[in-house]
Amino acid sequence: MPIKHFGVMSVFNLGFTLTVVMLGTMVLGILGGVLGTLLVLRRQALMGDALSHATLPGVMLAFMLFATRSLEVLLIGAFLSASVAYGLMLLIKRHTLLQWDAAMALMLAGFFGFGQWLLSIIQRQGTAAQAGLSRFIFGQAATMLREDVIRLTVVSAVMLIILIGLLKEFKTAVFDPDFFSSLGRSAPGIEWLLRGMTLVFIVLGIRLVGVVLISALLIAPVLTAQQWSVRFHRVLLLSAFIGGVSGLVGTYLSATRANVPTGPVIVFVLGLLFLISILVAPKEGLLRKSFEWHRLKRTLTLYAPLIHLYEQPEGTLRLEDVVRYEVQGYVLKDQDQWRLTAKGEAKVKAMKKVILDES
Amino acid sequence: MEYALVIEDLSVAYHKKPVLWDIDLNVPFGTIMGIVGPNGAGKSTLMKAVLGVVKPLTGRIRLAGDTHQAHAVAYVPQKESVDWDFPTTVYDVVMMGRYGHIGWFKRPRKSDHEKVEAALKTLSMWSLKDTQIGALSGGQQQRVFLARALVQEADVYFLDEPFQGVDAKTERVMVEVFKSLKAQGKTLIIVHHDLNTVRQYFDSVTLLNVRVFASGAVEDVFTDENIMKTYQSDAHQAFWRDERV
Repeated sequence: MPIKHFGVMSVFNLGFTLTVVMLGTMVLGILGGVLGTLLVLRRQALMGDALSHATLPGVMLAFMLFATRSLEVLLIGAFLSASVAYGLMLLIKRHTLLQWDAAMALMLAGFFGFGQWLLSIIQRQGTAAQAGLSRFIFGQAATMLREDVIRLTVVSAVMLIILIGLLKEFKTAVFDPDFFSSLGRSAPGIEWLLRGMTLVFIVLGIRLVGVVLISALLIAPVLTAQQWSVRFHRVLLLSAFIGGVSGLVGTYLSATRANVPTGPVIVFVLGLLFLISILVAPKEGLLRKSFEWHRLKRTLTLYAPLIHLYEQPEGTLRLEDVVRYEVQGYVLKDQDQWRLTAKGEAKVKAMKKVILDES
Repeated sequence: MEYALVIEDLSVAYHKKPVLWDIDLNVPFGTIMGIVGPNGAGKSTLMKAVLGVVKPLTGRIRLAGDTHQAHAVAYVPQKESVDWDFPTTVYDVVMMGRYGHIGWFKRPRKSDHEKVEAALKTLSMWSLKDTQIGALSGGQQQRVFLARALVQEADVYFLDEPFQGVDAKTERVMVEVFKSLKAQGKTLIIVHHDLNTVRQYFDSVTLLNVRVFASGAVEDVFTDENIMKTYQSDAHQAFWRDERV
């Protein structure tokens, strides 16, 4: 296929393979944003982290058993290993007093450690073929085969279509599972679908983004999006957008800057967007909150004496306040006693209303 | 007599402990029935078993003329069962009540939007339709849940502690809504914990504590003797639990 079909992309002279890889990471990022919104709202934010770390021993074992670098074989290993970890989590949850978070932390550490140990064994043997394996830790999108990227893009797109088609079902089941069941639909079924898709997402993404950081693509976009809106559809759209942009920009930067691993660069972009959002978001942003706090503080400092006079009419005023209030027409002298004018009383009442509403 | 709900020999267990034991219950059409009993009596579980939220150990449940159509029942779960920080608005939560009618992969139609608007206006919540649900008071949150149940246009309504943590005004509004539903021939089954208001709100009552102690018209079964028996049956409960553990 000629490069010119990719329009804008070819302007930057990226070459066909990198263009494909960037589009692939973008689609994966969009999927992560959508899937992650549902996971985080279901209070399962850590699930992605646990499952992704648990894929590592599967990759290594698959390589040791079959002595191949074929991505399918390695990813099937990853899938099986994460499935075993998930099964163990269920068993731990069911048969011990441990809760989900503890079960997840246990599996994350245990499987990841085991995987690292296997990796070090493989590296010590020094076979020529082991070169690519450490790329699973932090990801290296640009070195992927074109066919592999196209395959993962297609699978991601299919999952995205399923998620969007069943969005109102997912939303209801995540928000209120009992109500969803009372509609005669299966809340556990939706839960299984969600976790299954998370597992597939991770398996698809580890070679691109790495097992350590792939879960950031599930968690960070929705947390950023939630700074901007409280409406489900807007949070979801924004989260998908952030995931997509991070994937695209992160892969581009990683590929064009002397092969920096993709995962850390994507996480850097995600982190930057989160930081900006938490500072400048219109309602929840820290700058806005701090601005409002200072404005309130200033108002109180300026008008506290006036409010005191309103509450204690026999009270006194300091000279610098008197000068200011008299010019503004809030107070009048009445036989050695400063009294509020009608305008002054109105001002106090208006301020009390604003302050009480705000606090 | 035609029944909205018939339960036969229903038992439910969590982790080998029976929480409901051998329940037989008939609820006629057009009544407002209160389900009353001490904490841990299985009131919510009974409701969830009927609605298919929890799986019973044994027993048969027949709803509204033997066909369990998903949109023949409406359900108001306990307010505490959901995360009110969820990023969604009053309007969108009420629209969930239409999802049983809309079907997989489809979007709400104009008539669905009209029904949501009407329900929100009935409960004086229309002006708050775009509010995030976490910013509402307890009473307003319960009104949102009730509006969602109204748009389900069901024959039988199940409400789990709808008066829990609501203000006096909301309680009055809700009682009005219940009466108008009953006037339309609907059946309401309500888990309730305040014994003082049972005579005022319900025309029939079921006294429940793991098993059914009495069920029928309020004036017949809501007697001091029956209430005492229901609330003092710890020994009975302990007996079943110990034996099963």
